[in-house]
Amino acid sequence: MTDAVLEALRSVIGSDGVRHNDAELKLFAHDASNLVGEAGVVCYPRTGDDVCRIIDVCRHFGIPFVARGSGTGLAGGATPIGGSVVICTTKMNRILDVDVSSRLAWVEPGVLNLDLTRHVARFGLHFAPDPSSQQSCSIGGNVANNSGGPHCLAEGVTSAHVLACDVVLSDGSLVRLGGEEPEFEGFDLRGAFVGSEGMFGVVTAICVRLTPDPLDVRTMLLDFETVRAGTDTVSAIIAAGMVPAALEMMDRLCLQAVEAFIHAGLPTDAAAALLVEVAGAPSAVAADAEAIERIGRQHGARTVRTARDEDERALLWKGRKNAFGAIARIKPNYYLHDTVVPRRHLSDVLDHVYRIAAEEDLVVLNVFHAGDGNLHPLLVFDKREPGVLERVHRAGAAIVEVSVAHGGVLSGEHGIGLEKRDFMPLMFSENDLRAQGWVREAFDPLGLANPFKVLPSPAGCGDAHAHVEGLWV
Amino acid sequence: MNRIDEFAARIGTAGEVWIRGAGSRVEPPENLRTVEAPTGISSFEPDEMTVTCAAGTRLSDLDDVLAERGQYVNLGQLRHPHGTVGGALATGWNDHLRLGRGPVRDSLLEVHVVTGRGDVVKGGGRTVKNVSGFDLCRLMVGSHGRLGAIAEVTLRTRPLPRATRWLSVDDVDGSRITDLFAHLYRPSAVLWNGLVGWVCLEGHPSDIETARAELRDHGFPSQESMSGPDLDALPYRWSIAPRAVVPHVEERSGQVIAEVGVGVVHGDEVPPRRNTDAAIEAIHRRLTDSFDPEHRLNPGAGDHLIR
Ligand SMILES: Cc1cc2nc3c(=O)[nH]c(=O)nc-3n(C[C@H](O)[C@H](O)[C@H](O)COP(=O)(O)OP(=O)(O)OC[C@H]3O[C@@H](n4cnc5c(N)ncnc54)[C@H](O)[C@@H]3O)c2cc1C
Ligand SMILES: Cc1cc2nc3c(=O)[nH]c(=O)nc-3n(C[C@H](O)[C@H](O)[C@H](O)COP(=O)(O)OP(=O)(O)OC[C@H]3O[C@@H](n4cnc5c(N)ncnc54)[C@H](O)[C@@H]3O)c2cc1C
Repeated sequence: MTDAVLEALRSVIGSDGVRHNDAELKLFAHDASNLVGEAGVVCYPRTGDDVCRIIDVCRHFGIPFVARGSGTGLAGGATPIGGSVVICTTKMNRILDVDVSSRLAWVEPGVLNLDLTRHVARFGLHFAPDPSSQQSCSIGGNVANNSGGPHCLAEGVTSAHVLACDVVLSDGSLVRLGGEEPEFEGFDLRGAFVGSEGMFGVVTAICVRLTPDPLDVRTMLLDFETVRAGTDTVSAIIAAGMVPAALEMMDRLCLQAVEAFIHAGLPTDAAAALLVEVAGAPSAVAADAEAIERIGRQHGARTVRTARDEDERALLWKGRKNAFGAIARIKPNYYLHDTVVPRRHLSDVLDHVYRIAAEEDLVVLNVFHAGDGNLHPLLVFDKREPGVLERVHRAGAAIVEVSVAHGGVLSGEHGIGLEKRDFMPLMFSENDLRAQGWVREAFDPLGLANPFKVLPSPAGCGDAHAHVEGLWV
Repeated sequence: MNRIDEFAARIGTAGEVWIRGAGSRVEPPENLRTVEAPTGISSFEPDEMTVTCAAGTRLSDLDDVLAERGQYVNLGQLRHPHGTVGGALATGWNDHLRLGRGPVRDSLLEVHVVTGRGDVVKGGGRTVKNVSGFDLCRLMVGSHGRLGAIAEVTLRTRPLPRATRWLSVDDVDGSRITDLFAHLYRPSAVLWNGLVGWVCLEGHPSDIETARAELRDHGFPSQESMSGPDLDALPYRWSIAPRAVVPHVEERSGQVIAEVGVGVVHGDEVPPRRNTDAAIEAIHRRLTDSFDPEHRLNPGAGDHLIR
């Protein structure tokens, strides 16, 4: 990074907002994926105006910029390439306005997902998207990745909860996409922006929808002797006309790891367990819970454990949400995958996942959003083992391919980023990808916002791989 | 040739063309070549909660097939049942149960369009959850076909509610409507004309009974209502922030019925034109110039909306 750029950045947002020391540059060279790039400088704006000024400097010098929330992304979305300017939103973390009667809130992008829910809990409201990383991920990151979570089965992913985004475009202008009003003139640019992985601009304020807390909740754990019995139960529940609040599955190895970690009395000898939550008004909850128990038993559920109180419910969820902590006890490194398949293919695809892991001599655990067919195979390994990274890489690629071959998609919630960029042609034709490129160009004709992500670069257009280490793990 | 390619061939690569749905609302400008989208449901998977169909499929045909398996798809058809799937998506209008059922734009999972260049482009994917690539689906909903002619779509379905019940509540003025709204748990609609409130509750019949009893206990006795108020008499739609609804209704002299919590206000006055931001217009222009460089698709459609 040249001194002229650093000087310009310092002059527009002050020197305490501009960091250029080795420790910080190293820390911001990657997100949670270990795809390592190179940060040129790290900026901490405090306001939307600061973001405009930083981007003006980037445009002036022709340097790309990368927005970064908490860096919990798993696809390398926030990994800077070739010395980009990192715009980190952690100091833009104010909840600007809560309108309780209209059930919406304006927040800055650095507000942490769970902090918003905690803030509005006193009004009986919450922010519905609940990624397992919700204690640490930012709402700006949720918007950029269109993130999901266990409770998105019934409530929908982030896009369904975002009404407006104030965005700084790469030419330094600030625009409002969407708004509190329900209907708009023109194209749904808000909808196009959500999920754009930082490549359309930097969001500096977000208007989100808040969801009323349910009147009643029932949380159940059903366990099965085969994975197929569990996935058949999932399809049967949906076919019977129910959309539970959450429908999560853990396989045997995962149950064992989690049980050793939290001692919740999980059925460690089962092949799979389903965590089902129904929420809403009391009679509907009671009727659905009864029907789900009946469907489960018809499909061979050995036991149906219903949480008796809030403590037990919290314990069951703790098992689900802490699976990542639990696996650290098996091996030091993990690679978490994310694909979606039609629900009815879940158990066939899982069979393939087990076979692929066995062929590569890897340990695999599965803990995933079964209700929407969103697989999360977790490959655990010790990266000090010689050759293990190549095996993990091959297994990951095989899992993506088998998912797409079963009518599935590349990612359900983690995004494409760098990780899956070169798999895009598995799902999309050249025409499809060109059209996605048009949308990016419409927002960012200069191509300065987080370049080299999501869309595979046509041959000869500069190879981003050259700048990235550790692709895949 | 499959039906999508055949549709693309009919649209061709040159000359202005109007994609016609059922023509139920918008008639093509005179002398314009018209092309109709293919029809037919290619697959309905109740246990996936998805349905794939061609864009010319009638909403009523789709409703019938889904209802046999206790499902529906939210395309705003409660207000406007006679159109086609493509017409409903191209216009993107919502019906008055948006509060509970969400917007039409959330129903579209995968779309195949024919661009102005004559290419077939797919966006999204058939699974109920997907973040692979940029969201072309949402861009197409409400685009009036100006970016692409919709050929085939995969839609998210939902279970039909166990019961749907309309109630009306008298003597609800501006000081009471917010209170009425706050006492309801996730109603499907709350409509209000400044004096009367209409509430649509969906779900388990005994939950609906309980909600009704609680309303009474809070000072809001209700009567059964067949289907809520008649909105057809109010031709214009205003779109305002939900928090502005009460003052808006109180200030209007003409007839209005507002969707509380949503911000659509039906009325007999023409809504004001809104200013568009120059930067937004530039994004619009770049989009149309890429998808339809000669601006040959649906010329004039939604013109007052898309500039
Ligand atoms: C243990 C663990 C569990 C997880 N569980 C889930 C889960 O259940 N569901 C799920 O969906 N994800 C999950 N994730 C992934 C991750 O937490 C989400 O993608 C999250 O939304 C990222 O937020 P972040 O603030 O960390 O974003 P970052 O990683 O900092 O950035 C992610 C992307 O967003 C862009 N971005 C960030 N801020 C802005 C902004 N202000 N404007 C424009 N672009 C911006 C970045 O450029 C990047 O492309 C998990 C991750 C971990 C480590
Ligand atoms: C409550 C309510 C009120 C409404 N009021 C109005 C209104 O006042 N004015 C209004 O214009 N609409 C209105 N609509 C929208 C109306 O529902 C749609 O126009 C209707 O669904 C169109 O269906 P159709 O098949 O008859 O389309 P058509 O009337 O034939 O076409 C409507 C528009 O969609 C385009 N179109 C149709 N099919 C396709 C396709 N496959 N690909 C691309 N573009 C396509 C047409 O070119 C045209 O611009 C309203 C909708 C609702 C829910």
